[in-house]
Amino acid sequence: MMTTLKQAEHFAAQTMTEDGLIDIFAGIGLISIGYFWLIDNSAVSAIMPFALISLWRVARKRISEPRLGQVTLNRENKADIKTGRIILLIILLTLAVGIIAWALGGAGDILGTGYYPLFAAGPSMLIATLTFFHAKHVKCPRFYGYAAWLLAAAGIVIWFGEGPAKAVMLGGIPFLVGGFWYFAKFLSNNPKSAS
Amino acid sequence: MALGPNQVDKVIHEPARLLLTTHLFAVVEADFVYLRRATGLTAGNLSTHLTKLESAGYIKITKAFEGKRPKTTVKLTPKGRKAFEAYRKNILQVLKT
Repeated sequence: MMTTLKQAEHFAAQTMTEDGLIDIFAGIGLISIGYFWLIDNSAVSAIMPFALISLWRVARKRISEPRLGQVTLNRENKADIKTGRIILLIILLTLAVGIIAWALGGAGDILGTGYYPLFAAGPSMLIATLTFFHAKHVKCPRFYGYAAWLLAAAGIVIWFGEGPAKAVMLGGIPFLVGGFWYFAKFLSNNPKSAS
Repeated sequence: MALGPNQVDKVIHEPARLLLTTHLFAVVEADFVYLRRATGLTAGNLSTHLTKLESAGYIKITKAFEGKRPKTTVKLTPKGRKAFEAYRKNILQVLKT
């Protein structure tokens, strides 16, 4: 079957996300950030994103690149991927700053006030918005689904009167499940090969 | 103006090489594993077509080692890019008329 130039560009861009590793690390990140936030260990929550980014890079180099091969994207594609990664970094940084601010600001004072829905849903809504833009830039439709679920998670915690940590944890579940599914599919479709 | 048979680049026109150059045109450079995946060609077939493209001066092949793993990187030369662009233009012209 012949390939159009657009399909070839899409194939190259897809190489960056088809292994599911970014989903897995984002899922682990969100669930553990939420968990440590919940047990009032905000310092671990704030450090977590940076540790996970380093681990993701190692995993990609060791697991994905021998199977997918290496490709240097052209300027247009590269710019999109770079923007996507910057967005992802902003998500993690915002979350880290937000958690520290929440811990230092006395979360208990907010929970009983009218600002509660905003604070409870804020972090996951922010992550949802950024996940949406990430999906757009890396041209990966499943991230739209994750963004939608994060919004739903925000609604669920407000409905049940829970805090933002649970919304973040809940929001991480589809990332993790989807990531493992794509990762398993990726491993079975792409045996390791010599260059 | 009618397009003569010599105006269609025969090096690129062969289906496997057309597929290969399309993928190479879409990126800056790619390694052998990526190209095998992208084109679905066997390693032997891919090597043969890469050699033909290299002989025409359309691609540059770099062989190196990454740790203990051999790594072959392929990139379209400026001549190869121009040839692919000219091929696209010519073939579109043929199909339009």
